[in-house]
Amino acid sequence: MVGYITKMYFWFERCIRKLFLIINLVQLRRLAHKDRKQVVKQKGKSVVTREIKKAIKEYARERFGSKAYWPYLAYYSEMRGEFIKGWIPDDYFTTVVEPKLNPLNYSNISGVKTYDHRLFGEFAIRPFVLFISGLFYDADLNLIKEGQLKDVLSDYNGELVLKEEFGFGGKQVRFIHSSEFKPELLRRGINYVIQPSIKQHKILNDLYPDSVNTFRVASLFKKDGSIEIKFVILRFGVNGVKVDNMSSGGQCLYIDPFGIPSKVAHDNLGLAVGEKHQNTGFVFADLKVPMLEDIMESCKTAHLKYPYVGLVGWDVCIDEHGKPKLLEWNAYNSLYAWVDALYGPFMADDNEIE
Amino acid sequence: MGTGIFENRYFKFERSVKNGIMKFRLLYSRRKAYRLRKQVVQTRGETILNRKLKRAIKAYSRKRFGTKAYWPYLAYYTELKGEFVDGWIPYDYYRYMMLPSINPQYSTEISEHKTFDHRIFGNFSIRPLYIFVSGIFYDADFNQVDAEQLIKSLADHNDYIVVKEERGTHGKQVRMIHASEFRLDIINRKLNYVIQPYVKQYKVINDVYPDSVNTFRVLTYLGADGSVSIKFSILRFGIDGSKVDNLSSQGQFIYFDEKGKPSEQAYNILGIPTGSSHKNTGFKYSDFSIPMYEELIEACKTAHRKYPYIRLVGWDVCVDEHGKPKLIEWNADNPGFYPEEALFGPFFPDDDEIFLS
Repeated sequence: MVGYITKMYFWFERCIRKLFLIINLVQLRRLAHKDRKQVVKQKGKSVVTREIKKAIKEYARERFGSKAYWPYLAYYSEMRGEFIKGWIPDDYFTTVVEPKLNPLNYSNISGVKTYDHRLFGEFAIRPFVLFISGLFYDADLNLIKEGQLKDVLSDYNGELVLKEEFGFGGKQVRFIHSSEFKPELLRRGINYVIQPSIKQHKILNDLYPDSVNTFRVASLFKKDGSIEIKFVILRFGVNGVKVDNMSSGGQCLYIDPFGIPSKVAHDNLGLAVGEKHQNTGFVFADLKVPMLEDIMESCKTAHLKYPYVGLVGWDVCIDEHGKPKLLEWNAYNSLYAWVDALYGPFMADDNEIE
Repeated sequence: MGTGIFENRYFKFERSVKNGIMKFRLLYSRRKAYRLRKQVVQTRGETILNRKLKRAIKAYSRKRFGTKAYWPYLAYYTELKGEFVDGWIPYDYYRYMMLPSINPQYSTEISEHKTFDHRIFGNFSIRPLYIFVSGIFYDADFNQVDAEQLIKSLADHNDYIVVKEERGTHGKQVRMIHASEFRLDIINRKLNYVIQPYVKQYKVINDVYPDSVNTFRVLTYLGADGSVSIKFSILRFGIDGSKVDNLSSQGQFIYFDEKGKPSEQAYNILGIPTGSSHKNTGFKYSDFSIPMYEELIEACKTAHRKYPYIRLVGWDVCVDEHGKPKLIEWNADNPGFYPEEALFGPFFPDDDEIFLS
């Protein structure tokens, strides 16, 4: 009897999970249609003819087992101006590829921002104070009593960054001067990492000075144990925004493996938004990143320290001395769909996504 | 991804399904409590639970947890202990209400990553010979190791090794083999493994029962002020030729009080006493004493301070032949609780500690 109930229960749970997956897929595809329409509207023309649609569906059936994955591929085709075999539609990526490459129980630690410096050492910014389980700790996890906190802060006397653990899209990041810091600013039940604010390198500051502009480096752990960099983009804020996240209106440049930036910047849909920064007038083609090699090497080394996940998106800035510093790493939503569309395909090899 | 009403409905639906599943789990857990109680009554041949006592239990449950529905585990505790003790936490409440709030799920997952332990706890954990992660062999410092070279150097190891599958539970995914017998085909390439040297256990612990590695289970609690305290400490051992000490595999345990004095009797997983000496070796439990008991307790406390993300951790610790406490594994997801709480609790009489508010 009990065995029967257990079986029923697991069956029920499986059904529910499948149902959620289907709802999720439907929603993602609605989004793909919406985004495609927007691209067509902006470009004023559509390249997805009946013939191309047929070719897309055929490719989807052949590679992903169902033609239902066509909407994202059609959206990519509109963006790129042609259909290219080898693309991974975003719905397939988020529901099939990513869960396989980055099992949830291994990828969750990427959200634990208070742990980064313990995993990656010098590459991460050494935190000033940690707030874990309602307690204050220093970077070496020595307990700081609330009375001592004041002294620690007044010794520092500079700008701080308060980051909420498991915060997304830069919305959970606050900048504050150490003299204004109060424990009441932190919500109980949430962990925070409190870091010294980073002064960014001149080349990034010239591009746009109000946000810390970060490189997003996507790296893949390959079957032979080596790491391959899939792409690098550089994100920056606009219009006085303090963060560079694309979801907060930020824009970005694609940087090719030789360090040459794309001529035009893109918004978070991947649409072109001009050849100059709209506020600073910085000409994107003039950007040179001499430390790109260093950035990519740092990401590779870091990924080798945590080979539990296959695909990682690293958010890296360059400090005033030219050293790459890790701001955040993402084992969830690690690939940007539109980057694959415009500059990919990056995951054309079936072996890599198995 | 703001698609408005549809998304809101979807989240509402997800929430209600999750609530439904939780209700089902509680129901299921309470059925187990009835069964446990029945078993205890059957073994004892008498029941001490009467209407008046049941009413008191329900009143306590309603007062402390807001509903009388938590009474089945409290009734089981009462039968086991022989009386009702104010302050107990029923297991269903512990598992489904208290643990998720004091040990957030995303922070407990890492405790199941056995290939990662030595990176968090350093010398306290057994330094792996090799680990196998994402299809690649590494040494303990995460340097890549060639598979052929690994087999060669294992052949030279000339001792037993322990091959542990990550995310395995109840010791079932642990294999002890001679190093020279290691073959690549015993490894499932989709899983992660840690390969450790076999730990020879300390003489006194070996005398209790030599066929299993007998481990202490120490439950530590991180208080609101950052201090770490011990909730309980037990020593588990196998019986009747069993190679493992897990209670779920017929293992038994003795309990240590705050001063480190062992209980007179051993107990089984139900909490029923099984005698004052080991049925196979004849070891008298009250004679059990090891000089490094304090050191072992301190090691668990220090380890908890290195991972303050969760408040309650169950440490499985053995003592090696040189008398050093060594961490076998740690449990944050669901550290065992009920026979100990019933027999030697209440461990959480303080409402602040279980974050009721």
